[in-house]
Formats: sequence, structure tokens, C-alpha cells
Amino acid sequence: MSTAASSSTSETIAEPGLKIKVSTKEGEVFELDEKVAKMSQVIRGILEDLGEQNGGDDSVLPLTQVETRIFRKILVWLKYHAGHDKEEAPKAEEDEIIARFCEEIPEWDQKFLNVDQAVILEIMLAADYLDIKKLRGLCCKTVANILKTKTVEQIREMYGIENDFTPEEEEEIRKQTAWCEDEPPRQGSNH
Amino acid sequence: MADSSEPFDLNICSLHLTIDDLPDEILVEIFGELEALQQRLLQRTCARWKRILLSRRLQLVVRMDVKIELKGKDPRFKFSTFPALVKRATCLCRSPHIGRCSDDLLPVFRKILHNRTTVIQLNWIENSESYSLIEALTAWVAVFALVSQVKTPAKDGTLAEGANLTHVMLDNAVAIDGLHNLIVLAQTRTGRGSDLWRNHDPVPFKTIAYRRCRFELFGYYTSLFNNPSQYRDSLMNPFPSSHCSWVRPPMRVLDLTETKEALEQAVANSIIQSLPPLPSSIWDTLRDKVRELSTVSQMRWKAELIRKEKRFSTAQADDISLEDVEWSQLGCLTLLFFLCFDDVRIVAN
Repeated sequence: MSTAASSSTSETIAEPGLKIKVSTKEGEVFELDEKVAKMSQVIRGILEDLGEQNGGDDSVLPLTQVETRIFRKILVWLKYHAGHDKEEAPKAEEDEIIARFCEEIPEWDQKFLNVDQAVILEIMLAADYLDIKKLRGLCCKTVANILKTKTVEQIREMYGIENDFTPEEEEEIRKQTAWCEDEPPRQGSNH
Repeated sequence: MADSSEPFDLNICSLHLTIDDLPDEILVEIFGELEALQQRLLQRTCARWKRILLSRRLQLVVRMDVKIELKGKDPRFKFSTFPALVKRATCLCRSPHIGRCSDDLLPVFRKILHNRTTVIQLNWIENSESYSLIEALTAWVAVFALVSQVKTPAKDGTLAEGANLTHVMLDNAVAIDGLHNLIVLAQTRTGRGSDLWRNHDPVPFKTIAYRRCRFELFGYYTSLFNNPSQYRDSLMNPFPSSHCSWVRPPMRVLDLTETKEALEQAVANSIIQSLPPLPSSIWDTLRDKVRELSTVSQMRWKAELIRKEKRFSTAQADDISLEDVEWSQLGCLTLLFFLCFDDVRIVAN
């Protein structure tokens, strides 16, 4: 298994193909293999709009919402997955959910996302902006796994979320969801 | 041109982004990964989370933990033979206690399901190390009750909660009947296995996906819920202690639009792939068993060889000598049948 999750991007994609230039929010320009670039549906869409014959020239696609430090990280992920994933046709929503159910977070991706939560959120936002569904989904699953272990109070504290309910409103929600609270194992007896 | 291979330690960056900065659509995707009861509890976090957690988008997929812990389990009951388990299960099913467990679960199912829900994920939670087959059975009773539940449609004709379920995902399920639990699940839905739907037109399941599930091996041959006709005359016992009695087949998506035979084959392949190597001691076990078989049972074994093994497919039962069979040459599912076969039982007409 590659150790690319440790943020080295030295792994190269075998197919030379077309090169696509993109620039980050700070204006830094990166040259990507076409296969890597097209894992972003946004870049794929732009290239298709421009017509692929123009892809080889010096035009640079501006990714104005993505900071360089995050783009570098995403590039590691894109390069790894471009080299390892099979190309899949887009799936219906339910099929997508089932496919995700049948796929544990691979070890490589777990290592990749073993970073500060704030970084995961930044990657998630950038993946959303670039429309890289699989990466966004991985980030969501990772954050959900963190939420699963926390109480409401811990979540508020961890993310600095203000409780904007009045005491009456909160009490009302508590009543409505009381049946979920400390849900005991369903008990019976088999005498 | 930026050097994309330049190492960069993101963890030392000073970042101020929090989960609250994420757009609604991403929060929907995060919350969609959570279990249904936790989704409800998190409504208390803040007004925005409550609004998102109540959004219709989250009604499409429901994930739920299935926890069953039977109180006062009979410590004397040991899973010794399949007939004993059937007897025990029959007693339990007649008693109100399993029903009570289902009755506890069903209102929860009804609260978390919507008529827009198309995908349900059920996560088996084993509460203790002593989680037993009886508890697993109880969980299945509840799940069958869930998929076959019918609430009278509203006057405006809207369907009951869960009526549009088409995809079932099972995590960590313990299935006594192995494949048959799944097939009964599908049949219950289509009305073939139950008359509960006869006044309605439920959407049949399209897929059942499973991962990390544990299937009892003899469930391939016989079933508490759906005894396949070809084995109706057989008494099955657990495997000899030298062999593991269950497998964890790899995760799989079953396409329920396929025939029952194709489904059986798919799961049989799963079992074969995940079966640990059979110990050499089983050849002696089988030779010993053959010597003790009654004539009727011998005929049953020969019929099984003709049915399952290509090399015997054109043979006549009278031409087969069981004592001369090269057991090591047989397919593992055939061997498993012989290992768990005990006797032919007299079936009353």
C-alpha cells in the first residue's frame, strides 16, 4: 500500500495524456494529468464546455474558492485514486448509498483523513466546490463517526455552537425526543 | 508553477472553520450517515440543526440499530441440535415475550420510517458476549414484522410508513437461517410468504445488501422460517465440534429481481468462498456416519449426491456405494450437508 496519505505527491500517474492547468485562490498554478483533473466534475464540466481541443493550450482554470494548502492535500487524494479506482458510471441515489454501505473507509483514506477536524471540514468544502463526490462522502462519513460518539452538549462545546433555543423550546424538543434518550436495549423475557 | 509534491503539514495551520460553517447540503449528507435515534437527539443542538434534521431529504434513508436483549435467558438452554432449537423457538414464538420485543421495536420503526423512505439500514447490536441465537431469532421476528407491517392507508390513499422501502441493508446480522432469512424477508414483502399485504400493493424489495453478517451453515439446508421442500424430510444437527458452524460471508448486494435459484447460487458461492478449510478428520466422521445410516437415510444421501455432484448426476441410486465414495473429491456444500444430516424424519401426511 502506498504511503501517499502522508501528503507526499510524488506518485505519478502512468498515462502521460493531456495536461490541465488550474490555479488556486492565491493564484498558484498546478499542472494536472487529465485523468486526475477530471475526477472533479466541475473541472470535467468546464473542459467539456471549452471543448477538449483547447485543453492543451496555456489556459488556466481558476479554482477561486480553493486555497493552495487545501488543494495540495486534495491533489494527493486525486492522484492516489486516479491510479487505483475503477471508472464507474454515475449511479442512482439508492445504488450510491448501497455502494457506500458495502465499502468500509479504506485504510489509505483513513490515514489521509487522520488530520485535524478543521482540515477535514476544509477538504470537505473544497471537495464540494470541486464536485468530487467520493471525497466529500468520505469526509462526511468521518465527521459523522465523530458525532456518533458525542452528546449534544459535547457537540455544542466542540464546535462552539450556540444553543439558540429558549428553555421552553428546548424542553419541548426534549419531550418530543424523550423516547430516544438513553434508549435501553429492548427487553423481554424468555421464561 | 507550484510544486505539487512539496510536503505540507496541514495540522499546524491555524484554521477557524467549524461545522457550523458548512452549507445545509453538506450537513444533510453528514446527518444522513447517523442512526435514526441519534438524528432525533441532535435536534436539540440548535435551531439550524433541528431544521435540517427534519428535512424531507433525510427521510429517504433510515439507519437504525436493532438491539435485543432477552431478560432472564434460560441458562440451561444450549444450542445442541437443530430440532431442539426449533422446539425452543416454537415455544418462544408462542409465548408473549418475543412478541413483546417486536412490540417494543415496531412503534420505533413506525416513528422513524416515512412513506418516502426507500432505503433502510438495520444494524444488529449485540449487547453482550452471550448474545445468543435466540436473541438473533427475536431480532428477525421483529424485522419480519417491520417489513410486513401494514397500517391502513389514509383516506387520501397515501401509503403507510415504510411502504415504499425498496432497499434493505443489514449490518452485523446474525442469521440462523443464513440465506433463508433473507429470502423470507424478500418473500414477506412481495406477499408470497405472507398474506399480510393481500389488501395492499407493496413495493417489492429490489435489493438486500449485507456486510459483517454471520450465517449459520446449516441454514443453507434447512430453516426455521422457510423449510426448503427438498430437505423437509431431513433432521439436521450442528456440525461436529471440529468444524466451525457458521461463516461470515463477504459483503454482498443481492438483486432480488433475480430468480430464487440465482440468489441461492450467489449466496452459496459466498459461503464457499468464506468457508475455512475442512479438517481432514471429517473423512473419518463421514465414513462412520455412513456405517450407521438407515436404509432410508442412505437413499437420501444418494439422492443428494445425484442432485449436487456432477460425477453422480447420471448415476442410478442403486449403483452408488456410499462406502466407496471419495469424500475428499466432493464439493464443500455437499460435504456440509452430510456433516449436519442426522436422519430422515417421518413426515406426517
